[in-house]
Amino acid sequence: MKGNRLHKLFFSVGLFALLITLVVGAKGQSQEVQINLITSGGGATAAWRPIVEKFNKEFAGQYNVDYTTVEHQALREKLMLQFITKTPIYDVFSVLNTWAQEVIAYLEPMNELMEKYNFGDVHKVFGGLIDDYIDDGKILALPLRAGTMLLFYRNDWMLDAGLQPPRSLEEIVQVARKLTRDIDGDGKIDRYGMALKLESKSWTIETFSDFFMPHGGWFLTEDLTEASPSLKGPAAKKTFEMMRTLWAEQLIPDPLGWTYHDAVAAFQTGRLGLADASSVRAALIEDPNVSEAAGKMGYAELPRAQLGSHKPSVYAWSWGFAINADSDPAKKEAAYRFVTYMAQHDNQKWMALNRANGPTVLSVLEDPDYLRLNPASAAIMSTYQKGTRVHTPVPQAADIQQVVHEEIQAMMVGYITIEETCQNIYDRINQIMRQ
Amino acid sequence: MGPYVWFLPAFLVIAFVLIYPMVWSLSLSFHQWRVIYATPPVYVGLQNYVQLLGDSFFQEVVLRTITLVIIVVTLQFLVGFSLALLLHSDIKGRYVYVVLFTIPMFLTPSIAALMWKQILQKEWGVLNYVLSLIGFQEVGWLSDPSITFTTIVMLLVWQQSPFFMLFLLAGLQSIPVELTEVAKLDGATSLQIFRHITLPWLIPLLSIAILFRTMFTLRTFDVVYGLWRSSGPVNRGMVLGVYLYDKFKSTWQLGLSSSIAYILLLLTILLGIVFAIITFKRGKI
Repeated sequence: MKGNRLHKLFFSVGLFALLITLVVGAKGQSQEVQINLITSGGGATAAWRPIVEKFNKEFAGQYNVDYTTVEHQALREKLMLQFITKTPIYDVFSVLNTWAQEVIAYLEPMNELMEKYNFGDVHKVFGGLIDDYIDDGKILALPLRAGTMLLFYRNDWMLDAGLQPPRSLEEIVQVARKLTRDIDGDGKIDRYGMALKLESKSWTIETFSDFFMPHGGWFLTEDLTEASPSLKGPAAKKTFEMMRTLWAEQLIPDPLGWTYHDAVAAFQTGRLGLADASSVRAALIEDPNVSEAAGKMGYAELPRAQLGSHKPSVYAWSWGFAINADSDPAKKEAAYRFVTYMAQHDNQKWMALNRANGPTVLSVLEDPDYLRLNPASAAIMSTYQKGTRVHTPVPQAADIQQVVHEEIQAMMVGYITIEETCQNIYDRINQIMRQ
Repeated sequence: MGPYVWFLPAFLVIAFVLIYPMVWSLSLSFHQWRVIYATPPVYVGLQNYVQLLGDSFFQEVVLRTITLVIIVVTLQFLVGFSLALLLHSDIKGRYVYVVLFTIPMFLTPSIAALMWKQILQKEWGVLNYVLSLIGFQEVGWLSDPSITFTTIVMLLVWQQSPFFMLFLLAGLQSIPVELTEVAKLDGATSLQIFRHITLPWLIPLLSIAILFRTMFTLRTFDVVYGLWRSSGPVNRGMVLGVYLYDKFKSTWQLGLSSSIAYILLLLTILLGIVFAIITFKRGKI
């Protein structure tokens, strides 16, 4: 009997202790706001994750960021599905400026919070990069990682051949001719002078834009309502002529099977002399542990000229962090604090110097430490200063990119002429914009 | 009513997981809904179906898909049956070969595609290297539009022939030994035994295997997308599964992509009915 009473006593005390723990724990938890973050993986995660962990440490007990990463395509799908079903699983997510317009209706404007927390002039902080995330005066995301397209080249090979970085489309072909080599004489090209990536629509649009846009071309009129006549003009035609000549003379590897991964690997293994590539890829090629081209590369701006009616510009991409409009207000404020933390000068500088992140904050882009460490920095700054923009900043971007991809591939295999390519792209984009 | 109440939980789960989504997506196919505009769906009746069926590109895609099914299933059967006959004979280490031959079937199709992407790379892939050693020119397996269809067929046959092999091997091993012994005693040749005993015995199994493979091949997507992350060079790999994905996940046209899904479903049901009629007529089921 006595044993029974003891058992009951111990049980009651234990139950009471458990209840107290649960209540106190829940209370503690309820004070900490949970922010669910999702971004794409790869180099972006390598840059962002340490700062997310730093944020969690600094704001422990107040905020906690739970970080999920997925592959880029999967990110768009997950975001769209949560918007369609109106289930705000993720409070903060990364958006790419090239498809930001597709999701812009679902993003929370930050203007009020920026005023509350005295953020200041966004253009003084981010320069023109912020414009891709402003819609009708509403600031919908902050850019945290950016890059622009440059000409990457093997500086040592160029010097050996007495060449300068090409400054026109014709010079690109001439340089490619001199750099392409069959080194061992077996009839197979061991070293390509140039590469073009046309495997899927995201690569095709990037490749074409890299030469078309800096020559005054663009896909749409400035009011974004219809196809730009520059698609039928000299900027487009000369770009296509360059592409066809490079392929016809076997100066490039098969472009229909080529991606940016192939270009990076080819530079790393000493099989490629020149290519257009994103500035953040320089870190992969300058890594002496994996690349024989480390320390031997040069970086130049893409060739520009005024052939079309638009201001010559270069495609610049950026990842921004946006807040879900369907999240509850407490989470939105916490999310804002987190997003602006990621954009702080010190954090952006750390990511740029230690994780090869493409900085988005002007003060970091002008920082002497950054300029000293990044061999491509001069070309990047010059490109930003001369003007960058997104190639297709409309909700119909995916349709337009598909059209451009199909027509350019057909042109490269000789199914259609250059003139037909220009006309088809122009007509089909107009059809898309009129739907 | 009493006993049927016990089915209620299972029925509710099926209704929630299967019936409701099917009804919802069917109704969506009669609407136009472009999610990127953040506007609600608009009822358009049969417009999506009319638009699709009247689109010459869609007709080309359907034709390409049906051609793919016919060629792939035929080749899978021939390769699978050959392997089954080989493994049915008294060879040493037979069961090791069974395991080795079935490995491709157990690979996730997208992983298999990624693996083959490296092997088939034109300039520096293994296959072209091996071909060059025996005097062949390098082939644009992934970049030449005229080879794209062949590449897809090759991969599907490599990966799914073991399905036929396993089915038919099981069938071959279930043929009563007495039948073939009696036939031999009566003076039947191997060919006659194959024609009058083996094949008729295998037909029911073969029918099921062909039906399954037809259904799965109609929905081909992951192999194509794994290789190209698109529909291949100049859309030469655009089959119904890829077309559906393109309309749904690339351009977010939910109404149109629901219509495509239901056309694909109808095609599958049609083929299944035709198949069932032929098999019923033979009295084999």
